[in-house]
Amino acid sequence: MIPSAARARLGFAFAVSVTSLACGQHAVQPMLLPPVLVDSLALLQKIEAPGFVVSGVAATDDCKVWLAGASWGLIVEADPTSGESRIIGQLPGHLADTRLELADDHRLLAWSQESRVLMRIDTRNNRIREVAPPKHPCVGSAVGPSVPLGDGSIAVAPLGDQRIVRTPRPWQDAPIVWLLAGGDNHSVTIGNMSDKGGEFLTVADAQVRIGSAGDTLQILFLVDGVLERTMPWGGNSRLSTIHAGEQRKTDTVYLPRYFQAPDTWEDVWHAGWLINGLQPRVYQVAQFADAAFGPDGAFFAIRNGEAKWNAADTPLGKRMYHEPGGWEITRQWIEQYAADGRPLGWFALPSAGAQRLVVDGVGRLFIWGDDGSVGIFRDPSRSGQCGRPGPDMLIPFVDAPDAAPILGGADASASSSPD
Amino acid sequence: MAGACTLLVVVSPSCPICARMRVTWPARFAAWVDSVGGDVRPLWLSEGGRDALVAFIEGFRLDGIQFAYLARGRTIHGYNVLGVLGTPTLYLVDPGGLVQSGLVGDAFPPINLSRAVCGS
Repeated sequence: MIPSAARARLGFAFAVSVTSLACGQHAVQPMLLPPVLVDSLALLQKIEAPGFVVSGVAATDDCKVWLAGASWGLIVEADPTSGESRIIGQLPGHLADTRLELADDHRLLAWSQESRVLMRIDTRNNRIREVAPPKHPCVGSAVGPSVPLGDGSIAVAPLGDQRIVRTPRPWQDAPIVWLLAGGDNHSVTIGNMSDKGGEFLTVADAQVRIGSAGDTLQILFLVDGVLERTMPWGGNSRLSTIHAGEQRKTDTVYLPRYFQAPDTWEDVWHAGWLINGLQPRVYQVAQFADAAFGPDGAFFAIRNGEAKWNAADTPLGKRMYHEPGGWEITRQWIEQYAADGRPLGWFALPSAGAQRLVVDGVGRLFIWGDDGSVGIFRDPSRSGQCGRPGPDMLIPFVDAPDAAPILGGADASASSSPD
Repeated sequence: MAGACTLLVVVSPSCPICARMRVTWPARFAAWVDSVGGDVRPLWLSEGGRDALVAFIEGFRLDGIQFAYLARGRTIHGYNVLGVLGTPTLYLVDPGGLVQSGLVGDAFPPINLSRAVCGS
């Protein structure tokens, strides 16, 4: 089936294309003692969805929940009180891994890093409106963690959740966050990814989660556990960069660290017969695995508390890389912070391997288990009717390519404005 | 195969990107072929044996694609021979049987290169 000449060429390339890189330390140094976890989060209900992998969650003030399907962008509304659910429709473009954010009382923001799409959904009529994504100087149009701001603009960190992005050479300074203003196609950039060398280190060290509280934009750097707070449109309205600029007032909060990790390093193996044949491994121990902001700026984070080097590897990994194995996070818990970075609480992780969470702002935390299931927990900082136990939500729908009519219909139009 | 290029796409029934390609790939392939302007025949090569391949493609509109499979238990050997590190991996094979370019992921080979190799 494969021509012999091609086989010979591929086989030869496989034998000779190993290139070198990288070295690193294999231990993290303890700093603070881990907290004694006496509190646990109260489970309210589970989402049971055998044909529907949930990737995005947003809640409205009446406690109802909108869910986005990870595979094909099916949108479902679920009622936590009755446990019933109904299909809203399907997002256009076969979106994958769609995330949802609440913009105001009737609008949601949907974004997909994988499909590079950003759009608003009006929940009153289920109309959608696409927003042109930021143009990143490294990778072109890109979408990452996004948050609607109170003035109608949208903050987007296009590479904030991508660890493996090759650094172009020569390096061109790249912002971290884009503010897409409402109405006038204006955008402003914040922050600066400084060159960390290597092929993949620059973006790997700039993983962020973003949130907002009033006029303040919050940026949490996961790797080193630093929270930056700034007022992008307010104050003197002079715009600058967070790290390099002096014009915009920025608060920097260094969150507690429980270990000192080696610098991020990489091992890049090159498959010479492939155009995009770099096969990188990036070795990194971040202070946080994930974080999620509520509408008042308070946030919860999954803390990485301990890590060890696990030298186990696949036969292919042992053959390709100089240092087989990788970091294994051996202890995690959940931390709660106020908007200004003050620690408020520590909680045991509900299930081992949880890597994602969402705060809905009306009394609930959504926490993803390592099997993709989602548990709904009570937000301990809020009281209200949404934080009550209920029956498990059964989502009987299948997130398939043609599961429902496409949202937006003929009236949906692409727009360069986020408004 | 004489006179035509082959776009060999190595897929796996367990690969999420490959699963999405069953829906999104045919239209993207058609657009890419239009840009290339030549005769390019797509061939999907799957791991996991015949039954797994049949189950993988059943019910999807994949007209015009030829399918082949690696026998069960021979995947690693096949991947070593082909230089496949993961799925999907794609090779553009010219009419003479030589691999002209390879890519990891579901992207297509560069238009200019493909036009030079396969364009009419």
